[in-house]
Amino acid sequence: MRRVRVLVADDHQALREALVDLLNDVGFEVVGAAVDGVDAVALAKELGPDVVLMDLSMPVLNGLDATRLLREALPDMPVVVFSAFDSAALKRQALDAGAVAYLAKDCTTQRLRATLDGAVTLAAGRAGQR
Amino acid sequence: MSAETARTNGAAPVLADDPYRAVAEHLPDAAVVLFDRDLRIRLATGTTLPDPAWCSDHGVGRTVVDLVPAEQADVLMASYRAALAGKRQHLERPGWRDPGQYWSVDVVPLRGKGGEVSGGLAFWRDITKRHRAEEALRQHRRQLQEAQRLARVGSWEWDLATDRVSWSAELYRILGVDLDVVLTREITRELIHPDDRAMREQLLAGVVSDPSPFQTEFRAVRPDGTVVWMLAHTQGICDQAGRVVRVVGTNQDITQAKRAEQERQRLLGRLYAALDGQYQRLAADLHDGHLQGLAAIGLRLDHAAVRLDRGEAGPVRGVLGRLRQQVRDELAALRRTVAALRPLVLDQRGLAAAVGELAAATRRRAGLDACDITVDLDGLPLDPMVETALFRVAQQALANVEQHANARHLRVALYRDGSQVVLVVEDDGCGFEPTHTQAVADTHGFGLTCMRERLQAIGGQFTLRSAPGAGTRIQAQVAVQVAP
Repeated sequence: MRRVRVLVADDHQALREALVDLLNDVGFEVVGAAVDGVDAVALAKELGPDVVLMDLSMPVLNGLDATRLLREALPDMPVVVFSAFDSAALKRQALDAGAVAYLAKDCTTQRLRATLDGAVTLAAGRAGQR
Repeated sequence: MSAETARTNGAAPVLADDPYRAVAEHLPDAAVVLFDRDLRIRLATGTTLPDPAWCSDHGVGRTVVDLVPAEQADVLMASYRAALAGKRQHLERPGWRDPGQYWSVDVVPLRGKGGEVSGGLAFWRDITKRHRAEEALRQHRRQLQEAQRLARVGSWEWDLATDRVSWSAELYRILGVDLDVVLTREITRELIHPDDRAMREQLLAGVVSDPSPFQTEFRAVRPDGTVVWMLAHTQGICDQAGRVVRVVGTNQDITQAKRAEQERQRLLGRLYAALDGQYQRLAADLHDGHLQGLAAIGLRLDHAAVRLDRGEAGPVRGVLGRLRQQVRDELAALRRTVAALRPLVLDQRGLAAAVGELAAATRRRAGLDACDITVDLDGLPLDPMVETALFRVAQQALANVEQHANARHLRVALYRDGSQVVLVVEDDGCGFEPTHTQAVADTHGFGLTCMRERLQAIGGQFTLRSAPGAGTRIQAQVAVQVAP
C-alpha cells in the first residue's frame, strides 16, 4: 500500500525536524519540509503531496494566506493546519481559508495520523465526485 | 486732651481769634495755631494739641522753630512761610510726643482787611486712628500682593453696570501686560487663547444668570506670544435684589504644573509603548520560540512512545538523544528570555558587580587600551527599579562606546555621593556635537533619549557632555532609595 505523501510547513527548525522524523516513522512519507508560507506553496506545487501539514505563524507568508493560495491553485490538495494554539477562533479562520482540519500541536500521535489519513480520504472522495 | 486757652503775649485773647477758638475747641482731636508774620505763635488752642507746651506761657510768642524738634522744624517752617506767601499747604506728619501719633496740618494765610497777608493759621488734626487704619490697609494690600505673587494667583473684577474690568497687580504680571494699560473687556477677551475663547466667554456670560462659583482651566496668550495656563475660579456677586452686578474671580498660573503634567503624560505614553513593545517581544519569544520548542519536545516524546510500543528499544535511544538536545536548547532559549526581562546578574551579584562585568566585557570586545573601573556602592541596597535603570543606562552607554566611540580609554565609575548614586561612563573617542543629539540618536540609535527618560522616570538626572574629537561623558545620578 502506497504511503501517504506529506508536505510539512513550519518555520521552527526543531519542531519541523521532530515532525518529519515522527511522520516518517509512523507510516507517512514526508516529501518536503517548507520553512515559510511561500516555500510551502512552491513545494506543494512542485512535489504534489497528498496532504499539507501547515503551521499558522510563519514569516514571509503566514499559514492562513498560504492555505488560501493553495486552495485556489490546487483545490484537491487537502491542507491540515497545525497550530500551537488550541483556539476556536483560529480554527474557524483556518477552515474558512480552506483547511480541511485544524490540529493543536499537543495532539496525540494517534490523532495526528488519523487526521492526515482522514484528510486524504476526504480529498479523494471529493475529487472522485467531480 | 482738654482744651486750654492760650494767652496772647500775656494779654486776653483778641476778639478776632474767637471764631478760631470756637472751632478748635469744639472739634474733636483738633487744634488751631495762629501765627504772625514773624512766625510767632499768637494763639494755640484746641481739644488736643501736638505739644501742650504751645499753649503755655512758654509757647505763645515763640516761633515754631523753638517749639518742635529739629527734624520737624524745617518742614513746618517751610509750610508756615508758604502760607505767609499766600499759599495753602497740607501736610501729614508724625507727632513727636507719643509714638505712633500722626497729625494732618492745613496751613492757610490769614489776610487783613486790605487783603494783605497778616499771618497764618495752622489747623492741626490728630489723624492717628485714620493713619493706623490706612497703614493696616496698606499692609494688608502688601500681604495680599505678596501672597498672590507667591501663589501666582491674580484676582480680577468685572463691573457689569459700567462694563469696567480691574485686575490685581499679579494678574498684570502673569499676563505680561503693562500696569498702565487701561483694561477693557475687549483687551481681556483678546488675551484668551483663540481655541479657549468661546468656552471662556460662554462661561462668563452664564454667570450673569447663575452667580454660583465655578472652576475652569483655559489658556491665555501673553502679548509676547507665550502661552500661559490658567486655573480660574469665578463667581457672580449679587445686589440686594439678587441681580448679578459684578463678576469676580482669581486666575492662577498653572503653566508649570501643566507642563509637568504634559511631560508626565508623554513619559507615561512612552512607558506604555515600551511596555507594549516588551510584551510583544515576550509574546513573540513565547510563541515563536518556547511554545514551538515545547511542541517539538512533545513530538519527540510521542515518537519515543511509538517506538517503545513497537518494542524497538534500540531506535528509541536515538529519539531520546535528540530529545535531550532539544530540552537543552529550550532551556538556553528560556534563559535568554528571562535575562531580557531583568538581568539575572543584578539579582545574583548586585549592580556594582554587574556594571563592572559590563565594563570589562566592553574593554575586551572593543579592544580598548585601558579601562579604569571604579565600582563601589559600599554594599548599599538599592531599590530594584533604580538598579535596573542604572544597569540599563550603563548597558546602553557601554554599547555606544563599543559601537560608535572608536575610543582607546574608558572610565566607568559607580559610587555613592551623599544621598546620590552616581554612574559615570567616559571615553576618549570621537565624540559628537551634543546639539545634534536628537538627530544623532535618530540616526545611530544611541538610545540617549531612552537613557534620559529612564532616569527621569525614577526621578534621576542624566547629563551628557561630548564634543567632536573630545570624547563623551555621560553621568546618571539618582537619589538613594534604599530597598525596603
